[in-house]
Amino acid sequence: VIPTMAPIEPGASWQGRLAHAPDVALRALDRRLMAPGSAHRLASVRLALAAVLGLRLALRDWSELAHRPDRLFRPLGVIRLIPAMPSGPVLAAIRAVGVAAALVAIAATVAIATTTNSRVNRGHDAGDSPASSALTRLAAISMATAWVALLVLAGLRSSAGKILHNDVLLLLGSLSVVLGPAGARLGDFGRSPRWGWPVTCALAVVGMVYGVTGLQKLSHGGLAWVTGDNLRWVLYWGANSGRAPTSMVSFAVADRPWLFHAVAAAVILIELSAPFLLLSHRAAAWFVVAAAALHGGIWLTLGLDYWAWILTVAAVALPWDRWWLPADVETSAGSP
Amino acid sequence: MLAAILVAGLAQIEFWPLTAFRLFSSVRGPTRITWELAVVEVGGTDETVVDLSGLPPALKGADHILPRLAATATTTAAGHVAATVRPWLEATGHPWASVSKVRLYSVVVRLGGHGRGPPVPVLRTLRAEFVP
Repeated sequence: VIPTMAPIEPGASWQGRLAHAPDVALRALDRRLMAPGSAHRLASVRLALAAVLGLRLALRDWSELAHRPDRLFRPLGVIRLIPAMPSGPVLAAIRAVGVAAALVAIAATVAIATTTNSRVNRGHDAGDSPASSALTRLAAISMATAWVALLVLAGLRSSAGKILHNDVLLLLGSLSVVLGPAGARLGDFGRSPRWGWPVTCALAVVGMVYGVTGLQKLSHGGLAWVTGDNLRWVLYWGANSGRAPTSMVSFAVADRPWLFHAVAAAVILIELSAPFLLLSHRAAAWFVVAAAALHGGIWLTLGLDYWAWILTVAAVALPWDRWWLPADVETSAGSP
Repeated sequence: MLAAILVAGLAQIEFWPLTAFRLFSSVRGPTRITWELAVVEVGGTDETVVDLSGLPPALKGADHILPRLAATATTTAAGHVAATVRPWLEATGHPWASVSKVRLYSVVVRLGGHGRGPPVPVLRTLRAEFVP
């Protein structure tokens, strides 16, 4: 939390207000990030992110990476701590542990709610019991284990001289939820900064990633990224790459100047607006539609598979807490 | 975390899982540079271009590694260069013992048919040659 600064006096000069502007902006961001949220919302997002982590780990045969020769093993970042590509059985074991951990994280998060509900039904306080404390620790450890498993396996996959971005958004966007309190209970609508910050930080991180991606386009390509023939050639190269499921869409857009300029502008607009849309309660869910259109279009025209990005945005931005409430979970402290 | 992502973007840092998120940030045009490995078999003079397009996932990365190899080939020990390209050659049906020369080319390719046609090479430059 940013320490409270001296307030700006009402009659302060514009120079004084300008000097305070960074502090004001930081304090506003801090207030937004630390805004109260419900435990039910945090538990719902934990469930969704654990499911996406589990899917990413389960749906790829990571053990085929074991065949990478030492000379082609060029790890980046934290993966440099691993001296050589692990063997196939080790990679398969990391995958199995990660998938199991994601399933345990889901089961433990649901069990925290049902255990507490059962205690409340027997006339006990909803506070911590030895069983719920153990489940909270289990939920925390298993979620972190699944996250580390994906960090390692996706990092090893990226160890060929260039970072592959497919899992980066999931890893960065879920970190605050992995590190946040694991004892959030489904059905607990009591609001507190303790339950609010992990989800808000996840939304901010996802928004920041899209925002930086958009800024990089303008920084390296300039306005020509939109106003020039850039996207036209991106689409023609994509159509000729043989990776896209069809070349019809690429050609249909690339052959029409008004259309490829409009699509380029829409891409930049979606990416740059992400930080603002995702931190808005009403607009966050709409960004999921925009992200699905963006990545669906990329797959259709270039054949690049970014479904993990769509699911990550959906996991943190959709109002799961309003849609999903198990019938046997006791609600407390307000309503969804 | 927010500051780390911003700094990684501004400073172009690639430190897994942090990255600069330069996704399609460079402006594309009708031409691009690709890289080719070619071999001359023992006892022969003809050159064969190695097809690196169908490699299994574990051997991917030639697009990123070959340019760096070309940049350092004159200062790097031949043994290091050979060890780097050897898995690609052997995976594509060029046993190491049968190779007498390995050549590394940069190739400028241009999309034909005003973009609708396949890429065609317009300039092929030998960047490095070494004897295994």
